Amino acid sequence: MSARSAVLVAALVGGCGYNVQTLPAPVSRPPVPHLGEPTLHAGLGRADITPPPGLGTYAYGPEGLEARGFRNRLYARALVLEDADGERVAFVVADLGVISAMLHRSVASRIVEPTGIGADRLVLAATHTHAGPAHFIGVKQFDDHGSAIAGLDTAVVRFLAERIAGAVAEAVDSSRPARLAVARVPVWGFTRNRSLSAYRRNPDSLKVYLPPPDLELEADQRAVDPTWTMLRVDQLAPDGSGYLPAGALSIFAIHGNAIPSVNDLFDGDIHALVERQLEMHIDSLTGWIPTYEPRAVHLLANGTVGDVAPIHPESARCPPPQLRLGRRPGGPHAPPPAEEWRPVSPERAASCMASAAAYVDSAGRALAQRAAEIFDGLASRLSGEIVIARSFLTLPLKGELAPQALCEQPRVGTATLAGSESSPTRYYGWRFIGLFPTGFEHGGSAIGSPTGSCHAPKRLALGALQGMLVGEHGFPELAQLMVVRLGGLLLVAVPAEVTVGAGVMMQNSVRRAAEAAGLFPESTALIGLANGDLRYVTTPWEYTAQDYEGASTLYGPATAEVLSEKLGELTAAVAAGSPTVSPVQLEPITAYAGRVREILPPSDAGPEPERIQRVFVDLACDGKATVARWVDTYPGRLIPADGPIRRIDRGSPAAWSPLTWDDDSHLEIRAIKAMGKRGYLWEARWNPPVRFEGSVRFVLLARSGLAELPSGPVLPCSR
Amino acid sequence: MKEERSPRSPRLVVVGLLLSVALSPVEAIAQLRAGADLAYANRYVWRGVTRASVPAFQPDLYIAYRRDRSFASLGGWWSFEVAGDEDDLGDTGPGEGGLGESNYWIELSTAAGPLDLGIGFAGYSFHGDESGGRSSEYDTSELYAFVWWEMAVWFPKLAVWYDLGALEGAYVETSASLRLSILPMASLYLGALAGWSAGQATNDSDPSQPSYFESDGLTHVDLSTWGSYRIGKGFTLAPALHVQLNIDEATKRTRPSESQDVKVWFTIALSWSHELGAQM
Repeated sequence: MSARSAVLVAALVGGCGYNVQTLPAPVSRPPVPHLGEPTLHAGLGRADITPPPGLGTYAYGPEGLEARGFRNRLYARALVLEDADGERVAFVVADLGVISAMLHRSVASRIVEPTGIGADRLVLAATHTHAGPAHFIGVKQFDDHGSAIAGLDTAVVRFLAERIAGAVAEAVDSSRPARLAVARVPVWGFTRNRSLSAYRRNPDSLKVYLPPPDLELEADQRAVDPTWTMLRVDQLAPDGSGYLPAGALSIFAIHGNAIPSVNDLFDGDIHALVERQLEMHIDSLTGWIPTYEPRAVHLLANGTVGDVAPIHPESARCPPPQLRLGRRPGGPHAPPPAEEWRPVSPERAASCMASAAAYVDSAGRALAQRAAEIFDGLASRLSGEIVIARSFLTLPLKGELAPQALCEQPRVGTATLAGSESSPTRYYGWRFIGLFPTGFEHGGSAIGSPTGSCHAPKRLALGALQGMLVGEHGFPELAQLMVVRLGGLLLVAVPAEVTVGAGVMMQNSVRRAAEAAGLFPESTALIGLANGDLRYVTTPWEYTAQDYEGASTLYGPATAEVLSEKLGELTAAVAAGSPTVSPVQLEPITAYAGRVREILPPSDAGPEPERIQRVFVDLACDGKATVARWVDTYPGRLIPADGPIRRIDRGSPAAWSPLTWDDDSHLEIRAIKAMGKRGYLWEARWNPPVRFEGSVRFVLLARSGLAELPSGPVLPCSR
Repeated sequence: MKEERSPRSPRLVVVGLLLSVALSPVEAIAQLRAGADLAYANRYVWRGVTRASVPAFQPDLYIAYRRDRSFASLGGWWSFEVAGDEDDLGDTGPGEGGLGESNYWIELSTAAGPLDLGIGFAGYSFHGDESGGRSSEYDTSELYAFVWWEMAVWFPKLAVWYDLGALEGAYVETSASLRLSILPMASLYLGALAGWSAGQATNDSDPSQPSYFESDGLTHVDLSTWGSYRIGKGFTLAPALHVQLNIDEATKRTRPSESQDVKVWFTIALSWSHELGAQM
């Protein structure tokens, strides 16, 4: 049993020992109507949230790796909308695995003063990339066991919150009169339901998404919510000459786990490509040619993603580590070696990564093409007469104020420890002495007694010991729910991975409540993984299957019904009341965090930049990629970076032209090793999808205290 | 008919093994590892033969150089016996205790797909009382080789030792272990081992020559259950329980005056190892 294998053992000894923090309730300032320009205003912003190497990746649990660098930059993208009455709401989508309530409140605390936007007007959502950083959750079990590196780091929370707040501030600063249009378009063929047998248990009334009869799809590809919801935003040109395309907010359900767990780089997964490709498309519409970051901003939030996975090929899924006898030096009397978790071979991991990268590239570009078509199709439907309203609820899930239908204590099932169908853990399929099933599967033995417990038929992981071992406050204890009205669109923000069926339940409830209150919405959409993280929410019918999602529905089978009811109440409040008096139930909350550690490399790590001699130490094609190694500042100083740190030029010594920079899914930046006072050794591996004739060069861009440094020319690897 | 022969020079063997490590062309991560084991055995049984009917403490130390999936290791091993009475077997001699045996070895091993292969050289020194234990006149050395195959839950193994000392002959072990997963992260193993003498039996023409067994052929069958569990950073605990079916007369002897067809013993070993650093 290795240290890393200890999901179960860690849970066994996890117990208590919380870091208790009270998170404030920053309430938004009352709206101030626009007297001069009684129209919709919109602003967009972007902030780089790529942390330095050394953090664990989040969302694969302990199966994830420590990040050694990044493949493309992680961003937080913000859209701030304000109607003629001054009703303001901010949407932020961050390239993160989840959003924690701690992060949501931390961001709100930073923006409430300069922008007037408090927690009740902030929809902070995650793309759900499984290659984002950990250490910002503030829930003990997730802090301690959610990553290969355990612990909450308040510096990571602060780093993310400050940068996300910066994106919101930028959006507010760039706010101008705007036009908005909404589309809801089915996009089939990119996603599949990974828990089809559970989905099939739903009544037909929840199976509302039907592909066209002439579209040939597998059964699992038909059991998804294919809806692409897009808000196109055009802003008044600075010279007032007209409205120009500026950005978009998209909602589409697809898991961010196309990049497998063997990945050791921060990566925005498939969302990163779709975000960038649409931004480039929008920039092309305005004639803007960016040198580095695009000017347009495309937020791509996740929808009812709980059971919806990308259709990535089998070859892109690396198997988890396997328990094997280790190897040890010998001698005639050597005791037997200990068992160890043996990861897939480096060759297999590289093969998985290559396959995943190819899939992300092709699927991402195809999805972006669809997004561009949707965006273009909205040009004639733009309007500035949009009414904005919102309602917000801090819903306690435990204690006297919690809804009665929820189980008193949150619990996970055995199938949770087995992992999902698309990302199984090393424990998946484990049987006692290889014969007797123990619940480490989806359905089957993971289904316990049908009665006798609020959680039935969930077979509790670790049985009755779970409560004692997880502790009284080990799991999330509240849900921040939000409903936002944007004209005829009702947006529902839910802090969970909601399955397709549960999403239909919630949206049905919202629609019914709206209609009962006299508001007849044109459409509804659900933003998942927003403002917190409850893990999964399934329908009661799916729950009986005890697949991964049902086992990870913490508060039992009635969770979806409870959340639906509360969302209905929030909708009624939005629909019936004046937007300026929408009910807000925003309370301070208590975070029971896990072990607090210093994980984020400090910004003063290593020698001062002035003391470092930046130099290229290697530059060649290694047969697979064009590789450059150079000495630079330490992680923490080099990364995080605002803007590019390096560029690749093509051409010749007589004339070089920029080709790409370090926000490219084909360019990997990796921290290799510390070299003491000499600096830190870094590596860039560039493996572009197309062949380039002629030479390229790598350029280390100028930074504070460091001059620009180009490499010599090198012939890139050819494909 | 065997002839008495002089021992081969172990020095040449050691030099050859070291050279083969140094010239290994593998380009991969290289690490140095230091390790130590401390085993306790309620009796010291070696290749089916009861060498001490009293408890023994058996520490070892080693240093190993790893390149990718290959090890080159060098180490020493010592067996300290608890003093027994006059009717106890022991390398130290009747009623004696203390250091009975020490070994040193050098070994090369590598993994090739599911196979684990190794060759090694071991030197054996004895420190017992000349009047009744094993004294330095028993000192010897061996070349050995092994291969085991890692299947899903089965681990067949073949090992061969060839004596370079006064004996001319080999000892062969065939074994198989079955892994039983008792926890998601820990297993219990059931093992079956058969020992075979191929020339290490008594020389009938000169019974005064050293020998390990009475007869060539199957010497014993050892049925065991064992495990090996990490208990902390760098530490491993490996308990083992053996039930041995004694075939050869030498393996049946459990005390000077006692002979049994079946014997039972256990060992428990605490191991520690530490990587001394990595280089690219």
